Amino acid sequence: MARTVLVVDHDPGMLRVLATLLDLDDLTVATASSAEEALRRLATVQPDVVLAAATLPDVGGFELAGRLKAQRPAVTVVVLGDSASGPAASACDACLPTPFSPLELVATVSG
Amino acid sequence: MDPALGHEVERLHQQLQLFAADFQRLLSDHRARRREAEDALRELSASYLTTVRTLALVTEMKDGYTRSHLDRTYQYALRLAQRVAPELAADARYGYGFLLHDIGKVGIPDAILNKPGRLDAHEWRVMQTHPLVGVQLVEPIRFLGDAVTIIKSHHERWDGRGYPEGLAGEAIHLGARIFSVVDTWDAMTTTRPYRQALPLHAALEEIEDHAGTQFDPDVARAFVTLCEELDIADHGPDNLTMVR
Repeated sequence: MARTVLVVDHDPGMLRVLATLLDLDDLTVATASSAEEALRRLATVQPDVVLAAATLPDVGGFELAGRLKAQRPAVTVVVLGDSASGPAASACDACLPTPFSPLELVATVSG
Repeated sequence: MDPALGHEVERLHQQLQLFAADFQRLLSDHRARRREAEDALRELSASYLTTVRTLALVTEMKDGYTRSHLDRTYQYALRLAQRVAPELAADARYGYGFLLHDIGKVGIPDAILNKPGRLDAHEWRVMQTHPLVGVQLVEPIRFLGDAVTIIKSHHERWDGRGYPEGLAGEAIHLGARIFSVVDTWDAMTTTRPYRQALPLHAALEEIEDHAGTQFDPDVARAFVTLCEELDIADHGPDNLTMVR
């Protein structure tokens, strides 16, 4: 069964790049352009994976990871960007530094 | 340039470089897999051909013909196909059809198949079942494709007076029209228990004479031209370079 990935990035160009990259046979892609929108979309989208940019204008990717995990403990959260430290960083399942390898990104998201 | 903008451009270049590196890796993998697939396909094609040829030899031996008859008709038919329809001749299934044309003869009793004399009406009817027996035998072999139609129709005639379906003109598969000329030519120029071989030039005249009645006129003419070019009438039917 296809896994659903919710991609969160405030840069529309990068959002398109990531959505295109992950548009594979075994993945369904949904997008959100802010942390707030991502949390709102949980009402309609049941993501298996959330791929979030580390830097989002409202809430950063690591903090978003914590909030997502609080609502959906089973969801896998991958943060894209320079890794953070502290309790927030531990909420995500994986962190991919930028610039990233597309193949590595696909492998991480596909599980 | 604004330092912040310069930094952003630099990051984009780095990102692009990673996309390029991954793309290059995928392309290399893809090419390697394609080469592997092509090698496997070549090997498989060779195995198919060997299998088909072995199967064909079983029939030809039962029919009292020799291996050289099979090789000769196969080579002639391929040559003629290349002349008449080069794009189709490259299709291996034509070759399979040429090789297996008489496979149905395994279902014909030896007493009829190798009778040293003319067949009576009943025997002739039994003999004429061999194309359809052949079809029944090989139809389940999927890779044969159009070869099955060549097997079925190689005794059809351009004027519709052939068998088993009485098809006429272009309703007959081109491969069968090609093979019909070659098979008749080879039968005429081979000594069988019940008759002597015709001289080669006389056999060629027969082919010419039956263009438009027994044979597709274009195919028959192409065959005559091919034989003339190869000096077959003067130097014998083996004056043909093997094409495969």
